[in-house]
Amino acid sequence: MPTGTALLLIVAALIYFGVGQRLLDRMRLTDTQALIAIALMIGGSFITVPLRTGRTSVGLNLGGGLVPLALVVYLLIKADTAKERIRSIVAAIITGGIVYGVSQITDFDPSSPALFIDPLWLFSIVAGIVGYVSGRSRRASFIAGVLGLFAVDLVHLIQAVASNMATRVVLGGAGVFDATILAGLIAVALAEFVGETRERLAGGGEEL
Amino acid sequence: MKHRMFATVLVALIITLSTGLGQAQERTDQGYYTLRDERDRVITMTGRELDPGDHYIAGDNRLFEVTGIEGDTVTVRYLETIELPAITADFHGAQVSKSDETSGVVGIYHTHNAESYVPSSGTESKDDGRGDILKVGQALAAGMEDMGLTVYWSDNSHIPHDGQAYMRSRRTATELLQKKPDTLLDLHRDATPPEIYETEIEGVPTTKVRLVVGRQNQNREANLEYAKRIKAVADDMYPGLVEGIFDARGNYNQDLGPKMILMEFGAHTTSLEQAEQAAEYFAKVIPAAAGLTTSTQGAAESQIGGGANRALVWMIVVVAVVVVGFLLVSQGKIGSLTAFFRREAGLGRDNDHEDDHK
Repeated sequence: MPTGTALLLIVAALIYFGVGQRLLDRMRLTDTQALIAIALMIGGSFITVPLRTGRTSVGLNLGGGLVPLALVVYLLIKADTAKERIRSIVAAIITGGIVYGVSQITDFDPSSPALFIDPLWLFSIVAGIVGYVSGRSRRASFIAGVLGLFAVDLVHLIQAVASNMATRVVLGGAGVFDATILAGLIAVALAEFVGETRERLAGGGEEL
Repeated sequence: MKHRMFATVLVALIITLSTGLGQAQERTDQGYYTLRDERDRVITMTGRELDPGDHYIAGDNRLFEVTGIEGDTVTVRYLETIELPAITADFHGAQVSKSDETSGVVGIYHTHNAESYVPSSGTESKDDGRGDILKVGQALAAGMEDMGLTVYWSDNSHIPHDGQAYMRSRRTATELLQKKPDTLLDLHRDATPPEIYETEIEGVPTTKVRLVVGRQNQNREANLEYAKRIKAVADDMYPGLVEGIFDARGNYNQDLGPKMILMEFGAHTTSLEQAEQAAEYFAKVIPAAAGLTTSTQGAAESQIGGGANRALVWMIVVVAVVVVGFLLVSQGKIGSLTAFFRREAGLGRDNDHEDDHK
């Protein structure tokens, strides 16, 4: 590959993985655990377990599906209160509902009406806002992003199987670059940014 | 708790409402937009929803900017006539070369795999997911294999044709990327009246092809240069084959890498046979544009690589601005920046876990 394009790819990946690791690190993970989580997501990206074949085929990618889901379960178990758990799950349901709703309204196709932004970024922003507002926490935002988009995939899966749709559902199929992980990470980044800005505007150390 | 739930529901409502407004603008009449310049001359038509600020490079290389939208009319402003990259090599009969720099591998997929051509199939979309567009992909793949390239063509289905289709096709794109392709192509068809795309090349009826570059990602510069190269090569080999280049909102999974492009082979109103003809021509255009033939490697590398270098600089500047901006917001003083970088570099005490971390 030509040097320019190779460098572009490498630097983009380094920034993505680096920022991703720092964001996971901002939740209930140590530096090393966050690094291991990112490494598992990258490694797991290459493995997709087929769950069903036929007209509607179903699979689960380990890096893009299983690892982020395991992280979500871990965060839910480690939550301080039942209230926090409920808030996070409600945030995920609302995120999933909005993402599903939006994706029924427009197909974001170049040749048809679309919203102002690509769905990949839009879905992540929705997760970030809903996660932050519901729990004002990074963890709720991550859970809203990952679980919300996972729920949308599950709805598609159920619809596809029920109507014997000729399609393919690979949960987390794009591995570490899957929308599920991107939504989780961008949501945490948003929560972090909004949270810090609010704290600053509120005059510093006040815990929100 | 109650307040938070209320606020959550409120945000949900606002977002849903704002997308509802988008829906109010949605066409239900199979309509399309006409792009007109300041003198009311028709530049092109498209089923695509455009925004002020979007750019369009027309077939004659005039660059336009969208300035306003009223009803079915999109007003555009002429900016300049751009220079496409100079084409010096003779492409006809060019040999595909495999080297350290290129793998000679091409990936093809279809985000909207149900898209079809009404004159050929009587429908614009096939429920079984085996749309006519797959045959266009096959024709392109076969043509490039004849050129000596290795082509991975995916007929993965991403139906239904809804807002999650790109999220699903992203999984296909990453699968194909594991084959290390030199270029990855997402083939679609447009939705306009036939006259926009129908043409003849050397007396043979064919459709034109429109290239779409998404600007909401870091690879936009490199992909735009690639699109311009594709047009330059096509203009040389088959004048009139490329209808134009949209440099528009969206991402279209082009964040996954440079040399990824979305192509519209005709519209639902043109025929499959014409689109297959265009694919046959494109099988010769793509290898030369992507630098996969002996005589084109250097030029492709310097041009697309140049776009990649500019993208790199931008990316680093943006990351720096975001990091510094965030630190200023969160910590409020420049002095803390040095502490931050010392900590990140492992030079100081790791104390960023202390404020764990709602």
